[in-house]
Amino acid sequence: MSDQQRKRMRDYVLLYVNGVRRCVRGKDVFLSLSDYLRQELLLTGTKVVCAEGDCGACTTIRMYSDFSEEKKLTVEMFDSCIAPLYLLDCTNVVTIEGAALGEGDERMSPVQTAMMNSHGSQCGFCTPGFVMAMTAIFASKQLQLKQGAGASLGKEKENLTEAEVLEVREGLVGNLCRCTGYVGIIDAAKSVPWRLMPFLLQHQWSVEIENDLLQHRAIPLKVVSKEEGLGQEQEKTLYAPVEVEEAVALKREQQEKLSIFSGATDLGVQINKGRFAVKAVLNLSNIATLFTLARDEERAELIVGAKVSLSRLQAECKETIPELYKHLNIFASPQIKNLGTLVGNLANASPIGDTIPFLLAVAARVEVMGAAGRRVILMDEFFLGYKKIAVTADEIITRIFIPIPAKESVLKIYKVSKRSDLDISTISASFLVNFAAKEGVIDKIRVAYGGVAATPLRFLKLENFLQGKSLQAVANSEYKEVEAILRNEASPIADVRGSAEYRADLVVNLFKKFSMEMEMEMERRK
Amino acid sequence: MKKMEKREKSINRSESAHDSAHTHVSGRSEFIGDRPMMAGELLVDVFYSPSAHARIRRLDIERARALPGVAGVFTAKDLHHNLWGPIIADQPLLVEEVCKYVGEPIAVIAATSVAALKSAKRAILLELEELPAHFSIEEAIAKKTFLGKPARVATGDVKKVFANKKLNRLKGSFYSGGQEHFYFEPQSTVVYPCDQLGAGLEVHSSSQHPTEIQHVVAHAVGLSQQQVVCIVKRMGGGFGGKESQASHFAALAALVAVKLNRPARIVLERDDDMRMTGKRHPFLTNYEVAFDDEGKILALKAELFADGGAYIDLSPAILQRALFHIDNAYYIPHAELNGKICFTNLASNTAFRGFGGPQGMAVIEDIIEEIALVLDKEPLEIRKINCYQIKKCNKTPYGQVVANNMLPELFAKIEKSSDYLKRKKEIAKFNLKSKTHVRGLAITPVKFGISFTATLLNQGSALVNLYTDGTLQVSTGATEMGQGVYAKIKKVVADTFSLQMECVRVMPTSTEKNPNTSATAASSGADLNCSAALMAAVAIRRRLASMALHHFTAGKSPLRYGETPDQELELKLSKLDSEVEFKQGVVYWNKKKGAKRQSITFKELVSMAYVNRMNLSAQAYYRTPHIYYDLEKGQGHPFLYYTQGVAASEVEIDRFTGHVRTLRSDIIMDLGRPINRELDIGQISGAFIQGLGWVTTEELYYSAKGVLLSNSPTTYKIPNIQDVPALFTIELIENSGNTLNVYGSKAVGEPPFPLCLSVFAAIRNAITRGSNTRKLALSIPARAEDILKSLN
Repeated sequence: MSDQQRKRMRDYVLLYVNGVRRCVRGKDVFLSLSDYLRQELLLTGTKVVCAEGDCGACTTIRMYSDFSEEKKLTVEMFDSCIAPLYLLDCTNVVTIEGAALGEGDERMSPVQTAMMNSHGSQCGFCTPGFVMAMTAIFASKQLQLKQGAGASLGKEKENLTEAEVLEVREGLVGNLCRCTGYVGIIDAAKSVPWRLMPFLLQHQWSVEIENDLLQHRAIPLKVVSKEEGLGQEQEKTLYAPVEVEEAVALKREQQEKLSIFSGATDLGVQINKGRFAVKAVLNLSNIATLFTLARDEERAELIVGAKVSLSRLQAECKETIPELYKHLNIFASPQIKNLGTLVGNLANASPIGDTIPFLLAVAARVEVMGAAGRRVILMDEFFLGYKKIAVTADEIITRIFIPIPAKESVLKIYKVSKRSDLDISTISASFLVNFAAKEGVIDKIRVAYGGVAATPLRFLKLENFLQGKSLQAVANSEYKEVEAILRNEASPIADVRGSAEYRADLVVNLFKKFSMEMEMEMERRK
Repeated sequence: MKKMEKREKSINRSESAHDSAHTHVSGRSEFIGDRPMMAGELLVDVFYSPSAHARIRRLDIERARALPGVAGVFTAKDLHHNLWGPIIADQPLLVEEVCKYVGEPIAVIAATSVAALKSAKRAILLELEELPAHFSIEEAIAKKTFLGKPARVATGDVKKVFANKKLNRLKGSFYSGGQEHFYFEPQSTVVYPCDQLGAGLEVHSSSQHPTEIQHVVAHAVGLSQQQVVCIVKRMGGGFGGKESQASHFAALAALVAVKLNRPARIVLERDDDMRMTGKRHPFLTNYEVAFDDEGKILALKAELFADGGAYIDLSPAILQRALFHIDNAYYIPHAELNGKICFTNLASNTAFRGFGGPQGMAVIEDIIEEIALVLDKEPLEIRKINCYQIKKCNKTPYGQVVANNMLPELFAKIEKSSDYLKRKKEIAKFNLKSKTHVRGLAITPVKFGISFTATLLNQGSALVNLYTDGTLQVSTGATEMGQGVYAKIKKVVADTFSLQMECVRVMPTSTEKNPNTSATAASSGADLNCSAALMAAVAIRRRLASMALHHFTAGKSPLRYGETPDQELELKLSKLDSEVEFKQGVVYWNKKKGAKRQSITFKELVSMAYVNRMNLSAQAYYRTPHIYYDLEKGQGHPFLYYTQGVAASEVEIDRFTGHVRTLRSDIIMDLGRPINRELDIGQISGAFIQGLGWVTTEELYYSAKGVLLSNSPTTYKIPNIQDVPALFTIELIENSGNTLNVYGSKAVGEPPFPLCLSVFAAIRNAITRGSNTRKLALSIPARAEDILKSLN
């Protein structure tokens, strides 16, 4: 590191909270944002209910310029209870205290007025979270319109269209309410005249804020916190480099001591529950190149950088991989998808990681960088055992290459969970099939299941068995064999999400469902 | 007044809005955990039993106590009295010898930081001798471990009916599981020592029952009741979970405050709250029913077993309400109903919206579905022919006549408005055609008895203070948990004086203002407390009216200082004096025709009354009339009236996964003449969706050792916004016939909850139509796993 660079090192996290500039140093950097807001700033409007990102009561908004050429303004909601403060470095955080358009009841935002008058609030504990989520939804819709083809905001009719109502419902899956039955909340959303309003968060953003944040984002960050703990001194270090090479160098130096946080949507929970303690943290949020999300037309694949959020991926997939789009839609809440990344979901290596069967089915590839330079790992070789992956302690995952399924092939992704939205899966499965020229005969098939073993699994025996056969013929006469193979390949466990027996039945039934849908698809193609 | 009006308009707030709507939506509403920390305030947490049944061999707190940041660790021996309980004091605040469930408090820790609390928890040494434990009703029955006394309700001659060989009979059992309240704000209390304990304690708690907090706290730390004031500003949800069990944690925080003479705050973490507190009672019911070929029920024998958990808590009352509601909307001429409370090594189960009612109703609704299967008849027909009638067939098994009965009308309405028969046909077609899904549709009714079944609890009081600028404060025993009772009280008082809502403020509930109150429970909060508030307001209004007349007649009409509230008179609104009219801030004298109408502004009148040394404050007391119950005989008139309703729900099941979606629900209810229609509709939608969770996705999953594993929203699934039926309508019918209650309104908190049984019946219906079974044993919740099994 040259002296000049050293000089340009930051030792504080910079964020704005409701437009007020905050430089945070020392141990506070490691607080969750909600604790920082409630304890340090006494902004108690943000509520914490579950401390695990599963109820949305703590929903807050962050505003920042993205990493594209245009530095587009981004407005997104997230769960502040599991977001460490340092993840908000170089953003403007808007809390419920900053949601109104100004001081006093008269200056309430249209979302707040709607929630009040449509009885979207009863006990009031989930309400700030809903107001923030709804504000984020409408603010980003307004932004899209603005950043789009200059469509005018003011001329459209006031009421939400049916499609928009669905969109709002999807946008609110991350917020739970125990009192209202959601009816008043949906009514409130319907009555927000969002097209007629000035940009909802205009009062929270300015060129000065934007420039200040951008300038800081270009400076590498290192914060050391020494805390007189219970009897012993505890030291924690935070690094936020701006180049991949720096990140790799740090990782090489410190190996497993250094924890990489992507969106903290899982590790944040583990920390809150006392199951994980950080010593040194590598925050990749300021490395522009890791935000790359591109389509390689030649190789027909998506290139997904390590910091590409699941929300961005979902938006990108709407046209390229609609089945993945559909799946990501129920994957998690917007709050989680805005912070969480595909790489994080993969690296976390949970046997029920929701995107993993898909990545296995499409034969994705994972790029890592470390001491030995760059290498690419095939998905089939990625998992070594329960929560064990082929990435070594000196390496970081930089990108994932996702082959885009060809038009003539069929991709199916299934997820079974207790609640259809915002739930962890009991079982999940992905099928990618290419049919031969002859109607209904399988040319190639890749099948992967999650929740059936210590890692997500490809069912190779099944693939081999199905190769060259017609699904209909299999359904008619060889069904018993398929079932035997499936039951043999899967060895699920019993837990809070379902018994082993149920899971085993689901493994079979998802295949049945898949072949039924293929049959219907064949009918359609005729 | 003018200024007020202007402000009201500018914030564009609807008249019917929740009392705290404006502070809720702006994040300014203060809950216990949001209160600023006082200097020296301590954080309190509980060290609890990791075992479901064990004897404490050794409990060593010394190491924990010595940690930096730890101010104190306390155990049972530090308490003045250890036992508490809302009905019977059988539950220790802190375990002395034997732990009876996982999560049972053993020690209380006070510290200056969360980190110190956590370290202290880890530093406590606990050695246990494990004892045999059991977790199910079946085991409790086998081991004959029961709590309290059995309950019984009987009518007619069951034996004789069952001896009639011509009748059809059905024997079965039905299980409904527990349910976590999942109030958003956890159990929370902060206790402030006043005058360094010289003036007792001020307790702020998230509780439905401030009086009980006052009592339990005082008893636990050895104070008299007058030394403890409990204040409840609001709760972030209660649903019954803070009726009795808030007291436990308040007493533990009070122990710290008293021992260390410092403010002490307890706010449970979600995961701990879910482990430590009781749930809705699971029920197992064995039944035998006799019915004729039409499906008319002639006799029912049922034995209900409620899973009480480790202590009695409110179980006897819950069991009783279950017995009172097993008839639901149906006339059962001969019945023999028995109930027992089972002891299990689980957290003591407690009140939860419906209070045993839904568990009782679920049984009869399941029986009706089974009868329909046996007779191969349309379930709605069976429901209708068994429904309570107007002039005959209208007496409940406990002897109360179902008066002002709207059920037949409600059935007729919903059948029509939901297009029931037509949709049934469409569904039959769909089920024949679809290879992937199967659908079902069902209508279920509700008839919910209003009043505490313990007659003594049916009392309420109110204090209304009128200030010289013409604004008012009202205090009652009702606690606000989101249901909107403050807005209702406010409206009743504002209406009495014909004032803007903004002129009236409902004060935080305090034992100082309203002593000896009942819990805000049994859906009775508005009934009891609006009645009392109305009486107090009317008393002041009468005094003011005499002042006005005195003024208009230049002193000829006498001043009436002594107007005191009278229950009989005040609740009849028509009897209000017509001579003096209060209208939008002005008071008029309506003299005989032709005379010039005189007036005075409300504010001037109030000042005048003050100058004339008139009491501008009134306290009123209301007791629910006409109710009684003989526990020994199992007969009486326990309810003032019934709230009734019906719902039609359609579900779709994925044949491959057993996953359920509710496609459409229509609800029609009779709420009399609502005080606040919008808030009541909010209660209906909220209760229904909460019920939807109970019958579908909400599963309490315990380890083999009795540890609740579904103890956070990641694993315990309450409905989210996408579980709300895409088509969901709520309608109220006109009914001005309920003259028994304030404004002619009806209670609404609990009654809509059991309408979720329409979803459960629809699921049953889908399964039986989808698999052509003639018998189906399905429990609540109908888990996808069980549904899939029954479909195959």
